[in-house]
Amino acid sequence: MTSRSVRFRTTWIWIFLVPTVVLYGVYTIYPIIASYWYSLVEWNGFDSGQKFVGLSNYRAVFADPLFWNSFKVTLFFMLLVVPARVLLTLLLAMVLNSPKLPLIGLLRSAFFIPVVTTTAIIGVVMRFILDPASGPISTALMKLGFGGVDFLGDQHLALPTAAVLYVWKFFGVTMIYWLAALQTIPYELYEAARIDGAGTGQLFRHITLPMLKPFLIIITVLTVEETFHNFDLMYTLTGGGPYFHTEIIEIYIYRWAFAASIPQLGHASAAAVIFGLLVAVVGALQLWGVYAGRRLRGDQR
Amino acid sequence: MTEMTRRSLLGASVLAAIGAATGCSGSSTQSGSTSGGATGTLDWWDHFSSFKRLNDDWAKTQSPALKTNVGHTYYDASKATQAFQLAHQANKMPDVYSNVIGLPLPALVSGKWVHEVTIPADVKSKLPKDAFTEGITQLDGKLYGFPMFSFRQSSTLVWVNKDHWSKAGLDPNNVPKDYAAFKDALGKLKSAGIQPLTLAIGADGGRIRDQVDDMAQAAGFPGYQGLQFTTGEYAYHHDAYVGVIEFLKQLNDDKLIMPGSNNFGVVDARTRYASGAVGTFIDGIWCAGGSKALAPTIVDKLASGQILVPTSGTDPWCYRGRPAATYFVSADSKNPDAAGQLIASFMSDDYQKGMVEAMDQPPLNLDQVASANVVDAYKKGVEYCKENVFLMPQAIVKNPAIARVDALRKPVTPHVGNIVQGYLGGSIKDLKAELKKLSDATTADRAQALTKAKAAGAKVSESDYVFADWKPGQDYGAAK
Repeated sequence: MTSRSVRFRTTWIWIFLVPTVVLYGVYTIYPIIASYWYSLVEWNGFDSGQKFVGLSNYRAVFADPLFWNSFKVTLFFMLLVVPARVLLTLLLAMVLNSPKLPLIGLLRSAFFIPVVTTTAIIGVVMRFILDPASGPISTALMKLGFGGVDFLGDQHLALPTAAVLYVWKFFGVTMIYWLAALQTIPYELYEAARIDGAGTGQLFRHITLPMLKPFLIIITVLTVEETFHNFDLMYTLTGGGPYFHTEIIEIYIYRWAFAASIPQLGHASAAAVIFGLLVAVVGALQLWGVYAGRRLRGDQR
Repeated sequence: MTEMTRRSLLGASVLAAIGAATGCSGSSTQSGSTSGGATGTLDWWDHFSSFKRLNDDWAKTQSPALKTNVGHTYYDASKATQAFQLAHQANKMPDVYSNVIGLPLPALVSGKWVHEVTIPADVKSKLPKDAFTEGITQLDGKLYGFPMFSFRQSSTLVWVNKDHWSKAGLDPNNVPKDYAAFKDALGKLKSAGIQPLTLAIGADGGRIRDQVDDMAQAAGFPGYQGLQFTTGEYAYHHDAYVGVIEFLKQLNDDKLIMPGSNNFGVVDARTRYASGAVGTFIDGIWCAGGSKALAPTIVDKLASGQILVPTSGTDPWCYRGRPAATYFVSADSKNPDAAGQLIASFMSDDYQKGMVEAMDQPPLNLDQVASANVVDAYKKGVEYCKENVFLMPQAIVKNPAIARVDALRKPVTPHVGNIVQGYLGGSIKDLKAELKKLSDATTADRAQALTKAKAAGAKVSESDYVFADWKPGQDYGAAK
């Protein structure tokens, strides 16, 4: 290939890449850089005056007990959600991976439908379903002689309820990851093991689980990372209440940036940068997960 | 059949995109009302849900008069601030917009949000002298708007459903005024199988905060939002605040508050009331209009009572500040004269009549309500406000430079609304200690804002907040 034709091809590659590069730059890179700058200024977002204040926004964020509360809520939510999402979806994926199961396509679609439904709409609809005075669940409980349950207004129940809904909403995504992973296991392995007299439990323990280990790392890290981005569901369900018991960091940032009578974009940006660092740590873990997964799969070959 | 190559597909796509773009450019994106023969556009945004239909119609009638296409857009109050913030940053502000931003006037002027307006003499003559206040509606003598609503209003009236109250053997036209009698009435509703009461305690807690502030005033707190008029000190831990919140806690513990109210925003709670799911709702004077907009059939079932007081015979006095401009003209408006004329038209008899009949915030001239086509419950609420809501002293009126302090204030959380939510839900055990912490944090915030404002050259001091000559049950410094 001549150098002219290579250059011609490279030019076309760049032309096709331009929209992605521009959009990624405008909507991802620029906001990240801007938020670093905003975290160093005092600015209400309304007027043009941005006063450089150094690290004082960071000091204010670190001194705010409600920031640490939101940090704790975010991590606790992750601890509630990740094991349930990873393990329950694995079990379901194994059931749905069985070639003998009828209506597999329908069942897989049914579990995936909540994923493609708008999260905010799920939040709004669930508020009606979980209404302690007139929602169907509380109405049924009351007919059975129990009292209505204030799932979203009770300080002890609000976060676990949101976690259950979150797991249900994104169940399909993790299930698809597992289905893809399960389909990498050669069927002949199971057949050979069965001929050797292995039962279902042994097949799972000695074939499925070891073969899925690399995927387990990647899927777990991906799920952890995803649980940090839960603003839409939590905001529409509880708005961070009752009394900050479900205020994840994203709602904390939103409250300072938009819900304050005089918005404090500097404070909000400082919190966002700290949150970004937390996500970056998980991102690094994700990279390590991919690397470890590849190594494990290499060892298995 | 000719096969399509990647190159021809790309070419066809580009042509299609150009065609689509050309086609789209011919259509107008202006929503709202337009009129034949008018030139240009005048965008008008606001957050008044009860006035939505009135304002849509008004935009239509004003288009020919102003010789421009007036487009009206309604934004939900909770989303309006954010919409304005984004529009301002993108230089896409509407010509006329309602005052929902929350910044003091000097900050709006310095931030290039507002344009000076000129009000025709005949419109000015309809406005009371108190309507224009340096630092609130005008700055350095330049006028930036005028209030359309009376400051004599309340966020904390008792609204009842006549049918439910009658069913429980209660008189809806004689709603109890003191805590004990009110609690007793709620108990009777509960015994009759009716959800007794709902409140908007959830969301950001902003509404319950306002209501506890009002109820604390009616319970004898000599100040506004924790700030005592005569001393200029914050005292959220005053017995009046503690008493009000303890009363709400009793109602909650006795299961007289509808389950879920701890998570309700204003619209959630009002929807329950308007749909007849609950017997009683504590809401603002605008509840009549707001409920009618949600469920028109509720109108015939509305009855109202005054703000609650701790014991029978206590004067239900409340205090509010001078009203700010209701609408502003944007600094970026290409047609500020027409925008000013649109704002002036809101004082016309026709618009005022429509405004009163929408039963939202009461008009500047409260006497208009008595003869208007509105329900008795609304008239009764306005009558209460007329007799019991007084003009309070304000630091910004005493010294307009205080606006520079206000612009430097930061949110203090948890605020009173959050504390109510936490105390009712069981997260807060020591109420008085939490309120004391709020007083201290608010004092510290004002101190930092004062220090910064002074460093920037503002002539302000803590004494600007002290009004030793304030007397309860009177308008403070009203224009004679």
